[in-house]
Amino acid sequence: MTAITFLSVPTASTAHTKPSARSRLDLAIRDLAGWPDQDRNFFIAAFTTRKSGAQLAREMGMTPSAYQLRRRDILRRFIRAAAIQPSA
Amino acid sequence: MSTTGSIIEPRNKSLLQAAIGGLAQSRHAPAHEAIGTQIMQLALDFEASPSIMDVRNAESPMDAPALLEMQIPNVPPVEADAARVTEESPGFVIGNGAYIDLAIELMLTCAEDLVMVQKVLSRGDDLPTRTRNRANKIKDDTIAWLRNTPPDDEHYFRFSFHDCAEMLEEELKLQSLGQVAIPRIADRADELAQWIINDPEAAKHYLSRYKRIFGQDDRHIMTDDDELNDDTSHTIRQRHGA
Repeated sequence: MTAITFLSVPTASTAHTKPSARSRLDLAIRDLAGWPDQDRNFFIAAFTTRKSGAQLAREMGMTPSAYQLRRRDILRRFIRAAAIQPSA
Repeated sequence: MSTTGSIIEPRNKSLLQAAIGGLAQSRHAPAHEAIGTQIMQLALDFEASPSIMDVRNAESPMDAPALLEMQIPNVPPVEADAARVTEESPGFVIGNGAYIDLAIELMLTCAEDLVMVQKVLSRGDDLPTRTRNRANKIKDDTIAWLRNTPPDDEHYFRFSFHDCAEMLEEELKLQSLGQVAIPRIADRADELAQWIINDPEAAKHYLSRYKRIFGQDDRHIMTDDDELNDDTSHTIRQRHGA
């Protein structure tokens, strides 16, 4: 599994600033906490690293085609969750 | 409206001419078709921009000097931005290239799903009711995200299509190196969504081109054959956990 870097970021008090699209995506990905670990870890590994699909597939013990199908399925799940996610 | 790119000599004139022909035909087209044409033109502009493509294609250490000469926008770390909003660490690091990759892939997934559903539903009476219902569910979920219409008041959106369109515009501006004019995308997200809904085949085709240009790994792209092999019960079963 791909190693994920966790950062300690200092907090600030400008909470009323409209977040950028990047920040909103970051928040959405962080909200994947409710997903099963394997799905969340796959999403973060597949979409936040610069490794190639082939490399990730190898590390995950998957064939390239299986990796591709899994990647596609996880994206669809993200879209579905974004559209009808129950309020937290 | 052209998205310019006139300062760039196009590599593939036949494609560009085809796109220009499309522009002429769409002079009185509905708004969503107009932005569709702009998205098509923009892909051509990026593909025709030698310096951008040089940067995108520079993968070996021998190309490093060329990279150093490019004026790549300095993007501030996004983690601090997220922290300002949430007062918490996001818990992961996303590379700059991953944002545009994901924005394109989310839109591309919608287009591919709508194409897939069309193919499944076109089988007509031979289609089992269960499969038909699942295909319609996929379509409804996809369109719900594209149109940002929650099913009821108890639901809200996480990363909306408008967010995705805004991110795509911001990332394209960063990637353009000042050589390609980027049209308003965020402000016209509704039109872009309607284009994807109305013409998913075209959207799939052109978003795939964006994926080839900006994707971090173009081996993620599924071919039409892959799509055909993946377009029925397997995918639907996966999506619904059956």
